[in-house]
Amino acid sequence: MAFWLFLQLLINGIIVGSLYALLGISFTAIFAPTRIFHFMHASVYVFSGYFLYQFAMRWGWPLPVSILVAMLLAGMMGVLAERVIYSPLRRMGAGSMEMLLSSFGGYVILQNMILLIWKSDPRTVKIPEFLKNGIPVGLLTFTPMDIITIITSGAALLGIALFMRHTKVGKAMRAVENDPMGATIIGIPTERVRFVSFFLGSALVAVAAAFIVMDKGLEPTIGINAVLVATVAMIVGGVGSYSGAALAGLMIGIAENVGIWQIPSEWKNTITFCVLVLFILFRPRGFFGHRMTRYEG
Amino acid sequence: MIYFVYVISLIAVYGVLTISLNLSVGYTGILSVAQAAFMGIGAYSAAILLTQYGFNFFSTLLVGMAAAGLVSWGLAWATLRLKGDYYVIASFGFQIIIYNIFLNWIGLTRGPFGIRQIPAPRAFGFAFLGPVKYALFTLGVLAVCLWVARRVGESPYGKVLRAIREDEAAAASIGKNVSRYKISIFMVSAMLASVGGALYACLITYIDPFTFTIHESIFILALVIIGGSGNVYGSVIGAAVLISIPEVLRFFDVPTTVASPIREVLYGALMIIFLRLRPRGLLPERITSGAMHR
Repeated sequence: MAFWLFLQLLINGIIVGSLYALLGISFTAIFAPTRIFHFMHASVYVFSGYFLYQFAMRWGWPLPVSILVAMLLAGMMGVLAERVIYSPLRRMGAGSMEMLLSSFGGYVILQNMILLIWKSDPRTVKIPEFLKNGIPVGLLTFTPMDIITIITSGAALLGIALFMRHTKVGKAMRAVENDPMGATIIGIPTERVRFVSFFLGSALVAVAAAFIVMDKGLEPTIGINAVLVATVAMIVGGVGSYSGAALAGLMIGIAENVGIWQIPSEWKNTITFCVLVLFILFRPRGFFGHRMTRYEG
Repeated sequence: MIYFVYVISLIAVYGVLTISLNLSVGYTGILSVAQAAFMGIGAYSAAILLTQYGFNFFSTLLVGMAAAGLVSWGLAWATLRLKGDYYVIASFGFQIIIYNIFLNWIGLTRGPFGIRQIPAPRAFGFAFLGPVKYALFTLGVLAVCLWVARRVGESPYGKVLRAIREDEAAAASIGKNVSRYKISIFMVSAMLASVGGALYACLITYIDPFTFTIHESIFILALVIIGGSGNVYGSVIGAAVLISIPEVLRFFDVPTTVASPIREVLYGALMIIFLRLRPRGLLPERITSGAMHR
């Protein structure tokens, strides 16, 4: 019995973890090429949840269409953040600390815009009933929604992997990540690459937001947890490594869900944080990354 | 009039909190978003000990400082080895954990119900009852904090902190134990924040976990930036400006559900505008020693 329970929790962990993997990758797609700690990602995440709510629940659009439009709008928000907040600072020669502080400012503005537009009441995005009916497999249960979640996030992860390896833009993103100056010298339009990475990261976070919101509901404060997971996944995976971030996201999902076995669920964040501290102490380069402790050039 | 005195006390309390964060962000360049967590530790220590155990205010201050010092030592020891941007993530995670503890450890903190009827401080048989006395008391504490922070800033110790901020590897190369400096100033900063938290609890007389979120940390960070990072007087000015301006909104007929988001949008926007147009804040840092020209 305990074994089946463990297996069920493990599978739940993989389902949630696949979304966390998306979160990790979405943050990496922005941080790696631009080196901006894009804290406003939290608000973009929440905004895309509310876009979905607005389209699907208030205007009655079909869910897939609502998700796609929310992705598009989220991507545009990312681009707007780069255009309005980060790029003027960069031209001034501001450092990463100023960028981060401005990002906090932007976060505060966006969060309060959510309060003004949608109020702070919890909202839900309903999915068709048949997607929630459990299918028993042995002593385990799945819902069709679980399967859709896994397939979608798997497809998104695969898509990103192919995009980064085989397209010109993806390669340009990796080049800018490696050496922004060198990339500029050989004629890569770094400015445009940054826009692409903001669009990509923000659209991806909308996918994760959509599935998490359909499962757990929507409140203005949920972005903080998402960014905690995303950043921890990025660090634990090794900064700059997309597969590392995905793997780490998966691991956090599993750790949280298997942890529920022994630990009440309100301490989920604590588990995530402990994963981070353990990695900082014992493997500061993460799974596949570079060192991030001090005295590195 | 009472209301005016209350705003003065609030400014003094936030002055203390802003100075505390300025020690780590402004002097040393350790960007942290966990200040509200340490503020909360001080506030809860004061609230619990005053309401349930009848401690006197100054011993609760000491307990709160000890708790904040211990916790900050643990956090600093585990995570300050990270480089700047990554350290922020650690402090961010830590902030969320402490908030979770305030919210979920109901036996200790009464969770979401909060703690009510926190009494005014009393010491040596004299109670700081009434808004005017309490305002004078907070201003006194603020003055002490200012004095301490200035002394720290001008001391040789403070100069090493600035050297670490400018170039950590260089500071290490001339034989300074960078970790020890960072950990110690971080602890001082956390302890001062807990004092600010205790003052806050006694001023408002009611606390709940929702005060000590990351938003509060970001707000204190905004006060540091707008006032001028590295300048402790700037911190007081920043607190005075950012707390008094939105209070003016109260005199217009705006419902609270709209007024408080607007107030926050205002300080978020100010933060961005200052970073763009006047990154060194209202009162920029002044370097007293000739050896420290930038």
